[in-house]
Amino acid sequence: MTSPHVQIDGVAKSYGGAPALRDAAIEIGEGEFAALLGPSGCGKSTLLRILSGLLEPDRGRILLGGEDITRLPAWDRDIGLVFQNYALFPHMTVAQNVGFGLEMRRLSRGETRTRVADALAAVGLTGFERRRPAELSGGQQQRVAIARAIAIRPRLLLLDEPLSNLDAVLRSSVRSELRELHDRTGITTVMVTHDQSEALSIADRVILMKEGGVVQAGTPQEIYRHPANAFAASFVGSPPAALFALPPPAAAEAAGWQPGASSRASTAARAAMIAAPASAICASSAPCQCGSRISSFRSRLRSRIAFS
Amino acid sequence: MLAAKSARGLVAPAVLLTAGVFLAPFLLLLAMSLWSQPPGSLMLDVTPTGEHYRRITTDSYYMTGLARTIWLSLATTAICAALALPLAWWIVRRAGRFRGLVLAVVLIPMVCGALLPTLGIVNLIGPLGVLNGTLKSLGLIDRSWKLLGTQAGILIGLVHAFLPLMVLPLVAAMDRLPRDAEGAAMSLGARRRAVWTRIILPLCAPGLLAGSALVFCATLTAFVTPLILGQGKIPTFATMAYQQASLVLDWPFASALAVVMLAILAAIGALGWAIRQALPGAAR
Repeated sequence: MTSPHVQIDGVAKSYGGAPALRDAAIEIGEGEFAALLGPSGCGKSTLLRILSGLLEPDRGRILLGGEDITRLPAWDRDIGLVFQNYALFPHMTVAQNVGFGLEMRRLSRGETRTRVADALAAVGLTGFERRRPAELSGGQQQRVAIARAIAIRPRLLLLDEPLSNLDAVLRSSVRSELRELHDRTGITTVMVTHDQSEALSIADRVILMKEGGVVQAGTPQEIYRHPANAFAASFVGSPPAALFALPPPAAAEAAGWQPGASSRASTAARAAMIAAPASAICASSAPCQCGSRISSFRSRLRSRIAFS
Repeated sequence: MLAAKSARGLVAPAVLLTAGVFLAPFLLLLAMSLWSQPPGSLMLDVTPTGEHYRRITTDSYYMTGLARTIWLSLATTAICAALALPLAWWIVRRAGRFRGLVLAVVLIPMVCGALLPTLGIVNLIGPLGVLNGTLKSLGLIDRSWKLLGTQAGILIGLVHAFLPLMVLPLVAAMDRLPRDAEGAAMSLGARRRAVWTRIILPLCAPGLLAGSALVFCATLTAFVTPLILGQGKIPTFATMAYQQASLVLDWPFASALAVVMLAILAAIGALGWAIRQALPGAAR
């Protein structure tokens, strides 16, 4: 494999002693659509801000296309950023908003006009040039924000919770439009979301985070079918996997649960234990007494057991 | 719903009060500025005359005073803006839980009236005041800085007195800045300077304009501060009008001075309104 487009190497950040990121290590390939997925407070937004250059990490390195950009200020990074609240400039027209990054790059007037028109066409807002942000709907404002970010032809596009401020109807159409835009432009894209169905349906690769660290990274299929631990299993899937403290082996057997009844777990076990069929997880909070019996059928189930 | 009649009844007290204590004296002021007072007499001659205005515009004493007053107002406005921009920014973005405390400290000159803070400043900048005393005891200067009775002294007092009028509208404007607008600008390639000139300042322009108009008008009509800190050596328009009204007892001429001042205020108001209309985004 060639070296990854984005390489996040042992990045850590804490706010006033409280760690938000603990030595996160992530690689994202060129042209990939990656999703940073996790509950609020897992560090995904912090990581996005560090990627964009608006926040400096305490430790670690960020490489973009092989170049170390850890200390590069945000304005020199060529990274497009779409905020959750869009952050349009209210005193500028749509065209001025989209052209702002080009103006900062001192592009010629003609070139700016062409690129603004192209970017607006890409998001389906041709003809909105002279409007002001306040005259647009939320969905249109988001399109302007995306057009503004892609107009600079970024090396990386960052989307912060792009679907969270939209109504349900709009959400599914924007979801597919974002994917289409990515496929058309080929811009490496990183999206932050707390919605697992969003992440699984849109991204090539899902990076599941918890408490400032990466729990698991892989294709949606991998994450869904082979969750790395109890957290991954409970966070991914719809409805999420039902986890329960595994009863002592005797009780399990009494319930008709035959260890090793099938190499792939019985129908009952599949339904009872976890939605993802190939995994079985014991999430007992007390010291687990399942003992060797569990471990024997754990191997048969090819599952992992997380003692928490 | 209220009938039109009873609505009018509700407005009436306020209208009567305004008409009685503001409109009527104002019209009297306008009329009196066209009257005259024969020398050596306290009786008023009500034959209309433009003599007072002629005197104001031709006598260099008054024209110099007018120019000085406008200059002091402009300088105070500029200094207040220069101080208030970073201060308001700090209050909005950095002060955190000290925000209320800092705002209260900034507001203190407004709530204690003009006299007390001004006398306090006399103690600070006077020949035997804290500032000169400290500098002298540190051996940094041999002779006291002469601030009392100079324009510099008046400027210090005016800036101190009217800084809140600039800070408050700016804090309000900066509070309304869209979150993440600076971050968005930076990610698009704007350095700090461009973030300020293209994003923050244009969006704060209405606040800056409102603050400037308030400070300018307050300074133009300021009376206590220039009187005390100027030690009677630096006449401004307000102290001249006071002289004429209370010491010379020439009310018609004092009225004319007041009308000129009001005309300048009206002009400033119109100018501010015009700029506000020209600002981008003024339509909403």
